[in-house]
Amino acid sequence: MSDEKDIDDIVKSFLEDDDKNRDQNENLVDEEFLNDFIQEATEHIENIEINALILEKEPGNEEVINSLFRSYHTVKGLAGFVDQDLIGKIAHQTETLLDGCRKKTIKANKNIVDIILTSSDYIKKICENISVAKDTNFLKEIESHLEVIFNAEKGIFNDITVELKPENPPKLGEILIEEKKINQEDVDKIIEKQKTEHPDLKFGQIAVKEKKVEAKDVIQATRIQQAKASISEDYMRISTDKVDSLVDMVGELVISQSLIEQFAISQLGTDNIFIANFNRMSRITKDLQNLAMFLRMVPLKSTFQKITRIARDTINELGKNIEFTTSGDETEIDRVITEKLLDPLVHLVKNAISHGIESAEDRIKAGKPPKGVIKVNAYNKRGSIYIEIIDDGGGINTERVYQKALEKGLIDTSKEYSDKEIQEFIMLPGFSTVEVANKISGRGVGMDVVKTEIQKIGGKVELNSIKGQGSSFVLKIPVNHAIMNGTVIDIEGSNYILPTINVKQILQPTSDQWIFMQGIRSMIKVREDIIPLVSIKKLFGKSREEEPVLIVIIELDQKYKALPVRNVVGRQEVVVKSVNEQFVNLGYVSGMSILGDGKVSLILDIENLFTSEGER
Amino acid sequence: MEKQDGKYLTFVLGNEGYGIPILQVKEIIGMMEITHIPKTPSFIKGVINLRGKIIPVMDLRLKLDMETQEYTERTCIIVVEIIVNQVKRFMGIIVDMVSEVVNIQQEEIEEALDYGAKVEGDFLTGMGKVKGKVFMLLNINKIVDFEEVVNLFNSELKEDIANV
Repeated sequence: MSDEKDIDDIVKSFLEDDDKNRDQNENLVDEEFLNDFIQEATEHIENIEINALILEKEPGNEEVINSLFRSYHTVKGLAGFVDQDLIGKIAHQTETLLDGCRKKTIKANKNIVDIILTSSDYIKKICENISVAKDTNFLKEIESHLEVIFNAEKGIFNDITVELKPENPPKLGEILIEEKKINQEDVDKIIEKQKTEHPDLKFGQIAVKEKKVEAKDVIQATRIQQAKASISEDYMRISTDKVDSLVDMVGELVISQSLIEQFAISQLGTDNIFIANFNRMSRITKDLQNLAMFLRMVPLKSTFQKITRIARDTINELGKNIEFTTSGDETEIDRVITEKLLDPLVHLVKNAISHGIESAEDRIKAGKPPKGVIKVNAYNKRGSIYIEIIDDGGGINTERVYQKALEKGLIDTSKEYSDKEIQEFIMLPGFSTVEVANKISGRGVGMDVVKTEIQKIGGKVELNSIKGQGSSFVLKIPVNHAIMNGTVIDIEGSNYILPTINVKQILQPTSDQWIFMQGIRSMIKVREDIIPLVSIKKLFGKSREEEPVLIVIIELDQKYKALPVRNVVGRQEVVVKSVNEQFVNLGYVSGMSILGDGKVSLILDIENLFTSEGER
Repeated sequence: MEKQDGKYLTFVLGNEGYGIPILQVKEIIGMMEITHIPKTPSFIKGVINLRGKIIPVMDLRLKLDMETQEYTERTCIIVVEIIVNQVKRFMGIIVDMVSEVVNIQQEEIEEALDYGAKVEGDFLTGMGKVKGKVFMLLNINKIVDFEEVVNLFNSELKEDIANV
């Protein structure tokens, strides 16, 4: 407590000194100080927001309360240095409230969290625009907020107090059930066994012993448990440039190494001490490469925190009764992608809150619990990140959408549309209508923007909506910039890479398999399937088509295409690099990679082979 | 474009001397294997791997509408650095031969247009005269700006197809 007093004294003496000898030079210094202050205060505000959200989940967490207290205290001190009295006042009052929480004279509840966040919002507003502190309306707002805090200190709340329940890290068994590795019945049996037969063993150990789950699943589950239990980790800031350079250099190291290896094997054979030692080094390099790639990956945690904050505000603003939860925030994704992901996610979540979930009365009428549920889940599956936004609201009103689409001239009246096809209309550009646009989610951004933003980062949006039961949006996003398993093929003498995941089959065509149309070899018959051939001439703008030697059958969403190649060179892990911006308009290339011989190869865009190719 | 004095890296295309500001040169490397990129203009030779970074490469002869020449062991790639929208970008420029670094004073630089130079006006910042030799000083930012080139090429291609 004593050091806090000290700061107050220092601030006071500083202010006095300041009044005595103020001159023009000092004004300049002030400006510099002020900018430093704003930057530092903004960082503290960020911290406050994160901690407030944790506090909401874990109201008894003293560490979080202390951290919030310290943040406000520091902001108060800093504000004193730069003469921002208003910020100082807000921070001071909030700090006093938190001091009460610290001393347990005030119990942290939803109202307290609200106050903490509102205070940080006001400080943020002032930081963004210093002059707002002179606006009389704004001052009035602040005045009434300060009063709210003052009352809260005495335990008087305007709203009904909502008690917060602490959230414990999930049990291992619960995680295993969630991961579908074990069922509830077995979990109960194991717990019973733990009590009776093996009091000395842990749950996981018994589960493996009883052959209910595999050891690797238990290890995975404990990792998830740890990730969920840890409140915050220590981080250090590194510029992305440095990390990118590291990734590039490690990539080069791997290539140089494989060149040495090839030479050494050709000279010495494989059975010697040099190669044995060399292999050991290779493994280290491989680990190093994985680690370097990993450095650029960040958990979705901070993205989800931002969304939770926005969702919370939106729900309050609309006065809706909605439970908003997120899961899978430990899922890691390339940092660059998380940045581009935020806006589309915010849009989808706001949409779900304002349009997805019906009013409480309507919900009761429909026989649903009055409280709506919105879930945002993230998980990693087969090399892609999936993010689902699920609500249990009214679903998309297909009749309304159909009508709107009809007005917009998007409907072919002679055609029957399935519900799903009608739902897809909302993703079309210009479909954002009055029906969709309002203060919360409108702002001229429609679903089509979400779709194109996600497509830009190589992802896809899938929409499932059942009328009366709710909607789900699934974003499928590649873990880009990362390592991908690629199949290296030779097209007309140059190496290209296909994502192995899309390679269905490689075959040597016989002459009776070809189907010609108007004198052009255009399809191939594989058993009972007729598969359209990709035209290299059109794809690469060549003047003539080459006689295909081999055919690679590629698959995307259960559709197939036949890609003629000269040769299939091999299959390997490749490091995906983004396309130089000069070449992004070339639809056929989705990325580039440096192969084992040090040469650059282009990664073909599978989606492009299925869509635009052939139209030109 | 302002006339700039200072140090220039000079190089040769055929019997013409050119210069680019040394501050924009990142490094000079020998000829290496280039990965061709289909559907790009002919002066874009493709991309190279510069110690893990992928960098596009252009042939300056083709860019300046000069005749092509076989690459020799004296052929070099000058890797230049330009700043586009506050982001550093690199580009390799293939030239016949790199000569030397010269210091050109402001008064030694003349407007390019006076000489009826073959190179399009806005590719040049001026003509430098040093030790009796004349160098055409290139505006690198203009030369390597091919942001729109890919689009341009695509629309040309479409026209070609339409004409057939």
